[in-house]
Amino acid sequence: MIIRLLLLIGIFSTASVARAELVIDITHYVEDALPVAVVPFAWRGAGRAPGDIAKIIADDLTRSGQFKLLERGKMPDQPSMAKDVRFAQWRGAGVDHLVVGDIQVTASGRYEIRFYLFDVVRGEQMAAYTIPIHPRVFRKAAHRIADIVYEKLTGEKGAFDTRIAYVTVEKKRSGGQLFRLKIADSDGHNAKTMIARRQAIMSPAWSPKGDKIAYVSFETKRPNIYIQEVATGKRTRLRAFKGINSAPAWSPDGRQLALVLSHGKNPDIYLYDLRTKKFTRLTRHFAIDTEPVWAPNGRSILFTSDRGGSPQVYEATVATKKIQRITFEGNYNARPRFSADGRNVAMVHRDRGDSRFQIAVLARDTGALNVLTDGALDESPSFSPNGRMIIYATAGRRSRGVLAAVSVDGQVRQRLALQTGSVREPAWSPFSRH
Amino acid sequence: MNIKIIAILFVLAGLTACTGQKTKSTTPPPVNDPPRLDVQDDVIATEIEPLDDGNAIASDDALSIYAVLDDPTSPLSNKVIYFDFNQSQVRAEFDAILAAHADFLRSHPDVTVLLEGYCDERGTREYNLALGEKRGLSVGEYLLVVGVSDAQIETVSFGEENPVADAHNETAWAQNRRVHLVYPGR
Repeated sequence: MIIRLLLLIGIFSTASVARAELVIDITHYVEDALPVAVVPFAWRGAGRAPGDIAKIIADDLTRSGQFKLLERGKMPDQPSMAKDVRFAQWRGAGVDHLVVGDIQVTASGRYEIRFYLFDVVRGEQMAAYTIPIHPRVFRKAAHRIADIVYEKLTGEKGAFDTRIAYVTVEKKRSGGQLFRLKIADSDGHNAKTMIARRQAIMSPAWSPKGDKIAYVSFETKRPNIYIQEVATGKRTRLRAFKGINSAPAWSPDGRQLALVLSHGKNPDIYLYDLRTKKFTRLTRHFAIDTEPVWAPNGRSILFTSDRGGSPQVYEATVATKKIQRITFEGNYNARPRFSADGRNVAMVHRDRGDSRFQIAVLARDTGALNVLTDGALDESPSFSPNGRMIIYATAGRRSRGVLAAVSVDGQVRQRLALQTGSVREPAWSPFSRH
Repeated sequence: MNIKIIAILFVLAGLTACTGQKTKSTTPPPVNDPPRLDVQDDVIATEIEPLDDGNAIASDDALSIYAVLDDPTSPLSNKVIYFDFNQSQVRAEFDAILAAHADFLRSHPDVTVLLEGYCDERGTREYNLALGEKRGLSVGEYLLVVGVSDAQIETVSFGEENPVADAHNETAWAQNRRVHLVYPGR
C-alpha cells in the first residue's frame, strides 16, 4: 500500500519537475482516500493533443490528499465515451469513481472538452459536462474539471482553479539579492513575475476579486504599500508616511485596506478608504499593533498586539473600536488569517516552554486551538478559498525557505519547493470568477 | 576586440589632452578637483569624489570628519548595536559606543545618522518590522537624551530582511538582532 503511494508520488512529482517552477509533493494522505481513476482524454483534433488534461486533473486530485489515483498502467481499458464504460472492469481494479472524456476542435479553432463522472460501485453516471474553451486556457479548464469532480465526490467546493502569490529571493552572484513577487497556478505551473527588485518585498494580499495584489516594497529604501493590477501590471503607491507603512489587508467588499502606520513613532492599525484616500485610525496604543485581517463579515478586524506583554491576537469591532483579546494559549500568537467562512483563524503560535514557531488554527465557535504543523520556523499561513488547506512558509535545507501546506484537520501534508532560491510569504487567491 | 580598440583610443585621447593643456593658455584647475597622486607600480591612486556642493573648503572638512568613523582605534568605528531576543532596550555594554556617536553628532550638527533596525528571523515578518523600528527608535532615544538634535536622526526598519547571517541557530540570530548606525552624508 505504502509502496503504491510512494510510486504514485514518484510518478507525479518527477513528471512535474521539468515544467513547474514550484514542485509540489504530497507527503501525507487521508486515511480513507477515495480510489478514483481519470482515463486519458481522447483527442479528436489533428496532430498532437495540446496537453495531457487527464494528468492535470489526476495530479490535482492526488495533491489534495483525499484521493488515490489509479496508475495508467493498471487501467483495464481507456474509454472516452459513456457508452464504452464497463463498470465491472473498474470495480475489479478497485476503483469507486471514474472520469472519462474527450476534446474536440470546433470550426473556429476553439476546443470543446467533454467529460463524464461515474459512480463505479452503483454503475451510474454522476455528471456530464461540456466545456468550450480558447486553447490558451487549457490548464485552467483541467483545473475546473478537477474542481467539479472534487465537489461531486466530497460535497466541498474545489480550489484547484486558483492561484498562489509568493515572494522569492535569489542571491545574485555579484552580491546582494533579487526579490520577486510571483503568481503561479495552485499546482505550481505558469509562474509569472509581478515585480522584481533588489530590495525586499513583503506581505502580498489578494483583493477580494483576485484582480489586484497589495504588497510592501522597500524599493524607496523605506517600507511602502503598493497596489498592483494582476492583469495589466499597473500599480499605484499609497501615500507614504514617515516610518512603517505596511501589512495591507483588504476589506471583504474591496473598498478599504486595513494597514499599519507608525509615523516613525509607534505602529497602529489604520483603515484606508480606496476611493476617498482617507485614513482612519483604529487602534491607539503604545504597544506594537500590526498584521490586521478583516473578518469575512466585515464587522471586525483581528490583529497582532504585544500590549499584554507578548504578541497575541486581538479583535477590534470596526463600528465601536472596542478591542478584546482572543488567544490565551501559548506565549506567542500572531499573523492571524481567516478561512473564507469565518469559522477558523490560522496563526503563528508558540507554546509556553517551547522554542518552535508553528501554525495553529483557532476555531471561532469553541475557542479551541489546534497546532497543525511540527516545524521550528513555520510562518505566514494562508487558507485556500474553500477553507480546507493552509499554505505556509517554513525553513528548508541549507537556509532556503520553502512552502508547505497542511489540511485544516492536519491529515494531509504537502511540500512545495522552488527550483532555485528561497520562497516565502504565500498568499492563496480567492476563487476564480467564471 | 572592440573593447581593446576603444581602450587604446581612450589612452591616446588622454595623452593628447595632456599635451593639449601644455600648449593652451593655462586655466587653473577647478578648486574642487583634488590633487592627483603620482601613479607608481605599487601605489593605487583612488580618486576621491568631491561633495555635491562643490565647495572645496567644505569637502576638505568633510573628508576629515568622516575619516574618524573608519578609524579602528576610535569607538566610532563600531556602528552596530546588538540586542537580546524580543528586546529593544540598549544593553549597558554599548553605552560607551553610543556616547561616542552622540559626541560626534553633537559636534557636527550638519551630520545626520540613519538608524537601521533589524531582527532575527523568528516570529512573524510584520511584527519583526515593528520590532526593528522599536530598536532603531531606542537607539535614537539614547542619542536624543544626551543632546543630539532630532533633526540629525532618522530611523528605518528592515525587520528580519537583509540578515547578515543565514543559519537557523542562536549564533546567527544574535548577529541579526541589531541596529546599524549609517552615516549617509559620507
